[in-house]
Amino acid sequence: MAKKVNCTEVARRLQTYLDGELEGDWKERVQAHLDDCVMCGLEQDAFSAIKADLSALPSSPPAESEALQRLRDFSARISQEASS
Amino acid sequence: MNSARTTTVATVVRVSTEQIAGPVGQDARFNEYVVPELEVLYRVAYSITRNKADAEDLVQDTLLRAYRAIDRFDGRYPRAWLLTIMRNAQVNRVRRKRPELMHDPDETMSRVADESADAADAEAQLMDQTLAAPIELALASLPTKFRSVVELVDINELSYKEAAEVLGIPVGTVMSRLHRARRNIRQHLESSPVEE
Ligand SMILES: [Zn+2]
Repeated sequence: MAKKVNCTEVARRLQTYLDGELEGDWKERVQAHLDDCVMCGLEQDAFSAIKADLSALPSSPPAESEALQRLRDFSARISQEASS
Repeated sequence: MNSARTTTVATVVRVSTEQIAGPVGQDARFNEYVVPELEVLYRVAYSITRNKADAEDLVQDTLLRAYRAIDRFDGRYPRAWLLTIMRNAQVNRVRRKRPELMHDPDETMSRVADESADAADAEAQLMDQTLAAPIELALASLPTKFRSVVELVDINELSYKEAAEVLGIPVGTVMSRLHRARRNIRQHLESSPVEE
């Protein structure tokens, strides 16, 4: 049975938890606390929303496809030149 | 070190390319491990350099280094392996450009990144996003060293460890920068007027 944690301990680990990077039994302890505690649950919602908004942003600059195509061509040339 | 290369061709063609990279296996391995990561590499390079031309250059440099080193790669975690190569390539590029700044690689990288995204550039970017979401503006207003971590972890979905690898900083620093950055974004969002 995992030891109970308080709000301060959860606040310190909340973002790591949301990133799926919390290790050991901390993951379950934080999870258990979040299921019970309204205040920490609201914090969780706030940071989840921010993370979701961020991950929906375009991940690279415009014209990415052209640059990527050039890099693909470049990769193909590396192999060709090395083997010829 | 490079025993695979010195093996005779006759031996190489008999051995599975999965096990030993000779002249034959090298291309196969390059295509298997490196080419699928091109997009991630480009995005990460852009997060580091903040400039399209530099990002493309950095990826090319990384690809060449990866090709040369592929016979020594054990096939596990290709992304982490490539990010380490990219990090080294970037440190080298920065050193070539500004030898006087090489005291602290981390400091140097963020300074160079700051400089390359000069004010005019940043403004042009903002002008491009006239319809930018509040979250984009909040992100754009962060100092570069905080913004880079958010871009790597939240937008490009790197792990803490991978982001640490790429930036050449400890995982703990990734965490503290990331968490502070998100708190900052949150404040920014809460204080800015909500537009309908
Ligand atoms: Zn609580």
